[in-house]
Amino acid sequence: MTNYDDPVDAVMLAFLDYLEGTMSGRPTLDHLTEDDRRRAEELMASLEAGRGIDPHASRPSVETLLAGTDLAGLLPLSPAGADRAADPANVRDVLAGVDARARADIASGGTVVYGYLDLRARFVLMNTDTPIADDEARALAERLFDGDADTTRVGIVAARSDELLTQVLTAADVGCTVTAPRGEPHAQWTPPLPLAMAARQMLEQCAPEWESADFDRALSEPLDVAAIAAEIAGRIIGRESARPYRGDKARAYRALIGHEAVFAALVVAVAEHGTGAVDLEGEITRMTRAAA
Amino acid sequence: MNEPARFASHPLMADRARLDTIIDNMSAQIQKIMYRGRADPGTERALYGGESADDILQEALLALLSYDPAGLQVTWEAVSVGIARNKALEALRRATRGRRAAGADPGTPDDVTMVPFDDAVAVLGEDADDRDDPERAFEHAQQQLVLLRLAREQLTEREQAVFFGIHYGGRTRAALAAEIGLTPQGVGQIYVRVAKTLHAAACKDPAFPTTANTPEGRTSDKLR
Repeated sequence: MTNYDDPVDAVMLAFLDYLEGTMSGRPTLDHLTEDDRRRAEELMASLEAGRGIDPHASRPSVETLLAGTDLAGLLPLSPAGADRAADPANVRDVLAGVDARARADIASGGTVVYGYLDLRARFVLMNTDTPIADDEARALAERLFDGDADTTRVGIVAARSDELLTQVLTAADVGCTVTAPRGEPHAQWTPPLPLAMAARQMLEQCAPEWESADFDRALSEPLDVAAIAAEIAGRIIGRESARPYRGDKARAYRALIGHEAVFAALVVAVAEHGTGAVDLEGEITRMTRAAA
Repeated sequence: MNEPARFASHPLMADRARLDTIIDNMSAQIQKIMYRGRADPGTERALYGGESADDILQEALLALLSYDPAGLQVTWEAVSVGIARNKALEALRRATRGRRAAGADPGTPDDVTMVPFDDAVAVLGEDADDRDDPERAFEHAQQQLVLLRLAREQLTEREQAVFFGIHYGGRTRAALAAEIGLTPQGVGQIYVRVAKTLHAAACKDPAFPTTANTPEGRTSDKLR
């Protein structure tokens, strides 16, 4: 509750009326003591001065504001990141928090492999404050692309920047290109971004989208070798017995009709114990005699 | 643009705390011009054409760091205020060129998502002291940033909604009351109580500039 003994409260409420347009003029301060008048003036001035400021805004860091500009070279002189450089574990930890579906692992050579389905990106640290892709960085990116054909993107991470500023490159960015007649590069590189944002942007732009697979239910159930063997045996016996064989062969096939289970049992025995445990020749001879 | 070697000894880059304070203040100056009176909740905070306050802040910082220290006649703080305001007004001018002016007839095409340029000029004209005295404007914005920090630290969620809505967003008590579930009178009482409490706390805060126009001189005088 406001303190109604404080005359400044009534003045402030009247000032709110004025700002909201329900009172035509600013409240008078003549009735206030000098101290109260000063307080009221300060509070009213403060209310007017605050208008428009976004209380929820957070501005970018100096590193972010200067990254990629002509003044980016100022940053190495800044003491902020001079004595602390990130390591691959830091990069992996940041990447791991970007998207739960993607994997981030430290690979040999100190690169961090970031993968989602068949998208694979490699992030490599450079001991700089800004991810300026100079000849050294370009050569490094080329080596990474050449060393792994599945690598889709390479991220150059500035190890000494506060937010791990990252320049994401494609193979086309570092490969040989034809210069446009005006001498401009054929494509502009994407601007450097803090690592998490760069990874998120990469996923948004080039993460693969696979349709959900609907597997055949029969294939997802346990394999019934006996049933499959009996079905195949029945199909073969039926086809062979229908042929115009004569003599013992014709009689043998016809006699086997309805006895597919015998073959199925033989297939199961071979599948479970191997051919060495089953006398295939003896079993076939026995079945042939039985059929005859 | 000047050659990088010239900036190797830039005084602001050697004093990161001061530079951060100046950038915070420039950000506030830009927001005040871009958003004043139009900072409705949920409004996308970008100008027509996609330019954001952060884009303007970057332009302003580059201009500030390109300013020749040898030609400095006032404090860096005062220079930063002038640059930030000019960059914000330039951005508004670009965004509103050929578009609806304030007070235009209904039905007039209006693609401006932020403050029309005429309004922004009017804002700068409201406080002649701030308009003509960038050092004073710097101190006023600095006071607001201290108040904002204290509000984040000390206020409850409901108090923050009231204080942020009225003090920074320029919202009416009735609109806030409908959202929060209080009466407009209750919202006004909360605002006045919170504003007085925060102001009293801020006056004890060492970062709160209170020496403007006093015999002791200005805070910025110590920084020059």
